[in-house]
Amino acid sequence: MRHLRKAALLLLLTACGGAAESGAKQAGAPAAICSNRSTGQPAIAPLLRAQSEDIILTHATIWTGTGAPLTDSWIRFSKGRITAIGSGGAPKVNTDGGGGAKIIDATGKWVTAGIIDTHSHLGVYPSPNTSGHDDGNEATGPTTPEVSSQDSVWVQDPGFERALRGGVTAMQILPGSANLVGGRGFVMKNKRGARIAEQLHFPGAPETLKMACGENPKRVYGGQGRMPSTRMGNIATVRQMWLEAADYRKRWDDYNAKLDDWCGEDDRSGEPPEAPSRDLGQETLAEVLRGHILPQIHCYQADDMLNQVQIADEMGFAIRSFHHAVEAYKIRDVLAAKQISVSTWPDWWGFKIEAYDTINEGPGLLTEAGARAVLKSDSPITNQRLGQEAGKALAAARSAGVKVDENDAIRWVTANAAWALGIDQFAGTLEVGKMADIVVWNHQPLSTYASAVWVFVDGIAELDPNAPADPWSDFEAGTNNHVRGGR
Amino acid sequence: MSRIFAVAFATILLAASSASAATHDRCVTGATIYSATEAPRAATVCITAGRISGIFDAAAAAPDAGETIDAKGSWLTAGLTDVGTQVGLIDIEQEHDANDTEGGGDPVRAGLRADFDYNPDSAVIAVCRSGGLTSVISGHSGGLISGVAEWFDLGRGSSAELLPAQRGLLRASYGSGAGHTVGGSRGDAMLRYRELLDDVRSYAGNRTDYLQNRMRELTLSRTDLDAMIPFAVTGGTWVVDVHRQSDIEALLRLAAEKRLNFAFTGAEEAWKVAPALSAAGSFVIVSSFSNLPGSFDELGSREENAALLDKAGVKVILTTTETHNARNLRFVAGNAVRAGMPWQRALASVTLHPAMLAGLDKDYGDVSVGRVANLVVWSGDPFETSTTVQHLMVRGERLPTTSRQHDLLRRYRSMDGYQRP
Repeated sequence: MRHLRKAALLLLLTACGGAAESGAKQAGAPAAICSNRSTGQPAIAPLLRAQSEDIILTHATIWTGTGAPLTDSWIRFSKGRITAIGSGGAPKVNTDGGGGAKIIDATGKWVTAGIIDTHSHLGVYPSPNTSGHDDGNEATGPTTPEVSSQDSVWVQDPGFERALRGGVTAMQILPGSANLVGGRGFVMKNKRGARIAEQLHFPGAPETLKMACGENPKRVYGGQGRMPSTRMGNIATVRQMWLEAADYRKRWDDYNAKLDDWCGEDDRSGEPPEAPSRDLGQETLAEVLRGHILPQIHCYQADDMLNQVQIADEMGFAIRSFHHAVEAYKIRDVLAAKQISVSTWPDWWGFKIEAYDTINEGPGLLTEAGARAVLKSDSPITNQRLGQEAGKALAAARSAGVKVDENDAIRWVTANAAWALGIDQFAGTLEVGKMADIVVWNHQPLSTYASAVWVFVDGIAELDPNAPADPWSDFEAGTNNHVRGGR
Repeated sequence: MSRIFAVAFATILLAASSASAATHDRCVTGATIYSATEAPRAATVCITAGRISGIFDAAAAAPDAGETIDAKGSWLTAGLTDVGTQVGLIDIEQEHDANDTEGGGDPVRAGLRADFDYNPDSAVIAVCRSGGLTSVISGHSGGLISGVAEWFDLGRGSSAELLPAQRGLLRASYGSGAGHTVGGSRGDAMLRYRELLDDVRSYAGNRTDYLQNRMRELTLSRTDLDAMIPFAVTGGTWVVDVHRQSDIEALLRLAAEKRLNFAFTGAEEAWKVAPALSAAGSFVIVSSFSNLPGSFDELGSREENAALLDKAGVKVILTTTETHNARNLRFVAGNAVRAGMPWQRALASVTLHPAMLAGLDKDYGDVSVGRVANLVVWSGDPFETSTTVQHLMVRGERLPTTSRQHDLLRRYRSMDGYQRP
């Protein structure tokens, strides 16, 4: 049960003493509760596979995501990391160390960082849509911070491979939006062969928390004749929740301070302090308040977002990304000033009154204002063509005279997405030292006609045009191999 | 060849007449025409009284016109038509006063016609135009037989004015969902179809007996019986939402036995039965975005569906299956091309083939003299994300390519005047 272990690790890292409650009274235990405190390290699942050879993509148009395109250039990666990027077609063996590497000629092709989808329900609402795998909303109470989408992910969802073919190398799997707090998100790499979601965990990614505001929670719970049934009910419920979480945090912070003192004593005479009782949901919320878990809040309307900003200010935490947020353009000055990213669509609208004011120029306007726009899918269909989504938003913005370019547009689905998930130091751009999550496209990456030809994750060719076709998902074994054929 | 000659001949006649008295209402100059049936050509396209009144060599002198639209470097196509929409029946899905998409009561709702509910003031319509749609086929959903869908031009006027004379298309469904609708298996849905076909035919042949109460009890209401006659007896086109190969095959057998005219929509596994669909001459309406085994009815879903059907000679129509974003039809076409469909075939599947499905291809679906002037001028390849709509005409009238969404853009282009919270 990763969640339990993860919760325990968080305690060890930040709050200490998960075992103190039962262990403190026993002989010999006091030393353990002190020494345990420094040994906790997050257990990162071993890689499914390791890159076995250096690879160099040559003669490509490279969109690094950090500026203007590099024409007729090359990129080298080794052991899952980008090791060099250069111009002039291909590396010179003597000066650039091109020897010994596998060379892939990318003449006439484009290279970008892997696409990152900040809003996906793959695995928790998988294909096929079955009652047995309907695992995205723990819709039994309006706040369920104790659950984690990772524990719902069905790794055999055929959507993962479709996403990979759309160039998606990382994504955030979120619980649904039935609840004001839906549970932790799961930031993952899109790789073949996992037997449990944990093996897909994005190394080094911070934890995230899915929240929701507005119509969705009040519809779900109002429909059950319980609170919240209104927006004011939403806000009151969330505010009360945060006040209780602040108390919980304080109890643990006080305890840890006392434990620090006790462990610092030479003789450790007397009883160690007594640990407060644990609550998985409160632990998660306390970690948000400490700034270790990044809140991802589903909100459509500008006023709903501003209400959430007020609560965050009041409680002292930072919202990392608003999701859907079709009215973000109306408050882009605030979002820029507060450093809150916006995970949105270029054009989805009209399915509810909250989504009535979408404009296609939204991402462009946000970018112009200095806010971080992200285009995400919330759909197993759209996440196969996020480049096109960026292309549509770019065309609309340009048409309206908003000064944005292709580099901005690719960042909407790479670098900005990485920032929204707190993994921008590892991924999202093509720079030396970053993870080798790389896509080779057969057309300009924002074009309708662009298909991924190669997709590398940790330097491994997860999509390889020369590899035999065999579906990732066991579900498609035997019955559906044509899906990959016909090419 | 003969077609091209006819066009050229008509052009000469019109050119001659325009020189004397008649003036074209407007002409579009400088664009390249992309047609479903002919090679691209640079030409001037003129419009009079809502129809294309002349197509002239680009090099010739500009015809006499009330208005000339300079479209140098642009692409001109027939306006696009999405056949799978509920445009005009809905503004907001969740609000019942803004959503008339589904009939009620009995699962057979043949008497329900789209124009009963069509609202030409819906905010969705201008959004459709912003993506180059000049018409839609719109209709109800739900039930076993959802109602009669109709072609609407996305122009100004009442719903009656925007509705060309047509029989309409009977929307129906088959498969696991249809089985569920009638409270059982797909076989129960098939029984219901057979029963209602027998009932309609009995009724059509003995209407007087029915009205005088001298007939066995029928399973349909009188309005449904009357509405079904064009589709069950006289060859009107059904559009059946169906997904699984075996279900498509069952419908092909039913159509052959009962002499019915079926088009298939959804049709994710149609590529598996492409030769039979081609032989039957059926239209197949698909989305190039469908490539996931979303249910056990569509385990064979794949993005090459449209390309494979087209290659087998099936008349393919592409649809978004959406309403609010039916404007993205051009990208559904582009993605079909990405998955292997020839570009011009993809254009046909969003222009000419929809008009053929509706029985309106003499008047709609291509750029030729005499056809209704539903035309779009694009900044480039209409299927590309970077392309925008420059001009749009419905029945020859220039309409804005902007919508309520552009008015919101104008209101928020500057943040001045908004109070900081």
